[in-house]
Amino acid sequence: MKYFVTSLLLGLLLSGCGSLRQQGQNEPVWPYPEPPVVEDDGRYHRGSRSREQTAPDTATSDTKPFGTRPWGGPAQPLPEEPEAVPSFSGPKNLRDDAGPAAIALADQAAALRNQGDLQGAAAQLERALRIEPRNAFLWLLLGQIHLEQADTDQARQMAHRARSLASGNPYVLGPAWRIAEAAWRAEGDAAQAEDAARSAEQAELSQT
Amino acid sequence: MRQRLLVAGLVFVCLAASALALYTFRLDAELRARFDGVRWALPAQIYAAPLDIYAGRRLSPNDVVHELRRLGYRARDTVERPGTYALRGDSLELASRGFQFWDGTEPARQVSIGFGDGGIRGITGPAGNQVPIMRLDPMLIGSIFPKHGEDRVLVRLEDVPPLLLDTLIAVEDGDFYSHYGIDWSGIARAAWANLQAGGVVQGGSTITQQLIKNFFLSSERTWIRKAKEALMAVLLEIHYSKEEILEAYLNEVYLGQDGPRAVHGFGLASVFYFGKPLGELLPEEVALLVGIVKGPSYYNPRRNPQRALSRRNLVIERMAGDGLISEPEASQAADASLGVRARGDRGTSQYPAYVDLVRRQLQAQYREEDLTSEGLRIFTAFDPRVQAAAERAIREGLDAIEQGRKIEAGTLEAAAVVTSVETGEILALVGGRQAGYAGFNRSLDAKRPIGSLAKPLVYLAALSKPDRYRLTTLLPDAPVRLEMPNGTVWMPENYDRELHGDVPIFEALSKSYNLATVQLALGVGMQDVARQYVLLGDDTKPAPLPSLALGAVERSPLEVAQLYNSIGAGGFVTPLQAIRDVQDRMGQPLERYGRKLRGGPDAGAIALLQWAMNRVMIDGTARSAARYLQPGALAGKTGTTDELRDSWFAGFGSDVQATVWVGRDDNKPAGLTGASGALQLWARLMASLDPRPLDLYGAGAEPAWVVPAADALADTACMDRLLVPYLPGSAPVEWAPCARQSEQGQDNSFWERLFGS
Repeated sequence: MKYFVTSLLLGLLLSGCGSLRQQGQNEPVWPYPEPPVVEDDGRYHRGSRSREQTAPDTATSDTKPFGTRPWGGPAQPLPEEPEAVPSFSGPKNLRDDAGPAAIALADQAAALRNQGDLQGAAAQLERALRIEPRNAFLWLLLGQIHLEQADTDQARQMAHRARSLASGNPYVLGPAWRIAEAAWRAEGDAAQAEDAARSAEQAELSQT
Repeated sequence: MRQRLLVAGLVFVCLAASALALYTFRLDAELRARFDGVRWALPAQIYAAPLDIYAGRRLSPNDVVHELRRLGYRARDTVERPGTYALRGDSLELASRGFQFWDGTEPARQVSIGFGDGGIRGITGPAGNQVPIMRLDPMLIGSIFPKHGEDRVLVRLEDVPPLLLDTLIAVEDGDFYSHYGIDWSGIARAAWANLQAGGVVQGGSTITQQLIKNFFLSSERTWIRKAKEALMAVLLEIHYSKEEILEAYLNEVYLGQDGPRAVHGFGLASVFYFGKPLGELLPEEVALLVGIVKGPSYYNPRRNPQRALSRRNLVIERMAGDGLISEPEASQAADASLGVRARGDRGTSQYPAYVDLVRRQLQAQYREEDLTSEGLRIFTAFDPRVQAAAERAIREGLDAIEQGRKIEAGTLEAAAVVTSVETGEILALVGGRQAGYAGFNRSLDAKRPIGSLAKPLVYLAALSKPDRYRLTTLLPDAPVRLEMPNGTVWMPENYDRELHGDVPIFEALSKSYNLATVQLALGVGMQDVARQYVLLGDDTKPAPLPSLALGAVERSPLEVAQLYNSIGAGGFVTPLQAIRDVQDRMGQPLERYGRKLRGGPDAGAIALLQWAMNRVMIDGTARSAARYLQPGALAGKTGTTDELRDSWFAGFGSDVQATVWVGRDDNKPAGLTGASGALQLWARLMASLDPRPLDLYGAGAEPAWVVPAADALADTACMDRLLVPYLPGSAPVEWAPCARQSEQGQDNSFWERLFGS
């Protein structure tokens, strides 16, 4: 279950709409959207596709059981009329926020992760972080890898690092708290996990 | 009588024969044991970080070409063979070498790198495709060889260029493929040739015999040894194929000496003399290496270039004579210069301080014999460009200081540690003024009092209590008199021996006032101050004595770098590391040293501290750095110890941290403050690294215009106002006397907001 939830989480981090890559049928997949837009002049255009890229419920088939609540947490009814939150216009996932080099390395990390090579995936993400050390989405992805390696302490630290770089971005804060939640849960600390879950829900409310 | 003699003779012959048989049997066993386990003592090889090349990176064509030259790439008109490049205006054609990295294989690539806008514009592959990222092969910066000093880079027979094999066999052992270890006709031919030439022009030893000699025997020249060598050569030929023997020879043969390091095998010799892999050697370079075999010391191309040149050209003639190269190729090769790299341009000993650090970290985890013989491949974060900048800054900076201050030339020493703030990786390490010489590694072993470098930790302890302290809290810079438990009295003084009255916290730090700092430390509590060391990643918590506030604690430059890197990293502590990954000789990953984060001090308090340390650069003790660089958004601190023995500076931008120490090895006063010594070196270094600016009002701090001397709010009417960051809810609320609001009680904030203050 934990693995399942966190896979979803990663999917959302990396993707908005995402066409799945062709992978072995039973392998865990790391859903990925289209390659970044590279215009004829060879330059990467930041976020040029972000508007149509980020409908979270279309990330993977895995999300379907949860509909618009992709985290699979305990069912709580959403408030009927959520408080009006300012809609967020910053980067919503890695593709919105990273240059082509970091994205290429994250692509390699995704491929390695799908082959079960978590060490290799972590190495690629660390290489990407040397290029973009303040990219919160890269820290989240690395935190997720640590979570899957059962290194809950580092998972939490990296999520924390991502939060410190979030500048209020709910698309960073939400997943960061979800990673923290999963880490606490794996350690058997239900109270801390609940706290993190509440913070995550708070952030997710601001995701538009 | 004759019969008895005959019998005795027969017995003797029988005995001798069986003794010889027994001896042969024993030799055979020894030989096979040695050869079967042909596991050369393969020293661990230490690699620098590879250069990542991607669009958007701030690298000039010059930066990349510089790196290519370090790696032994050659400028060529046609760029096809790996290891060549051509710079054409804003475009760099490059045929890179492939490399087996710890995290995958980097293929050899043929690309065109476009430059513009102060960096790399893009990388285009042969089919016009965009390459998002590539990396060069990493520079070999050292190896960990055992005491007796054999070093080698192992090559496989199939990776050796045929020209080298053919030339070697032609010159050393023409009948290699047909003889049985000993070449009688060869010996005769050699004797005849030598007789004709009136000197030794040809050796009689086969390659097999030479291998035996290199493998087992001392170089004493006796008939017994010759006989033993011949016997073993025959035995070797019985057991092993020609290919196995040749490969062993290529890796074993002695080809030069580099201080304590013996250069064995063609793989290392190629790097040692030409700075590039075997596969890229030109005909004249092949000829030189083969020529050297005969006498690596006599034909040493660095010490005896003339001898080496004529020996090389002799080999080139032979190559042409045997049809291995054409006549035009031969004359071109013979006209070429020796092409040997200057010594130390790329050897094990070029970066002894960094290699020393790597070795110590490895020794904590691996057995000595594994390090010196198992062929481990060690990948590090070492950045040759940063190292070059650090070495140059130290060399030129010390020369300038000695000249400028009439200090006896060569008496000052220095050390530097440069780290990546975000990753905690150690990028460069300078162990002394003569950076290329191994010896006392001051960056690790010079543990000196850190003086005022300790002050930021006092202020960090205070700023972590926002309910009690903010950046403009006024501190009394007043005399301190403390009776110590042992009965002595401690009465510190300011550097200028004056009292400065009430000073804002940040100014007490930026001007490095001792008395105000001690007052603050006592107010915060020494336990709390000592705790900051642990929070920032120091291994040992110092004793919580009042003198700790002024740096009566000994640390090496590397340990200081840990503290300051953590301050620069904004509340996250990454233990400093040099090693990224360790691989075994087959390229299998053994150990990965992944990124580790640890919670550190409060990010808000760190942000305030960084701002105060920026004031050190702007109008504090380090303002003279402005001579070399824009101090706009850098932060740091000077450190000076009693009687000017140690001069320190440590500081950072948002991406890179550097700690510099200057002093004397005999611990006599160097006559330098932190500002007049270490800062000068630091500023030169940072100027060439072009660090990224800090975000001085980040991490949730809220800036407010204040009059620092009054610790009160200011508006446009105040002359001495300053924009100071405060943690939420901790800014002053009173208006300063100069502010209009203080008279009118009018809220002008809306106006100010529009006006931009």
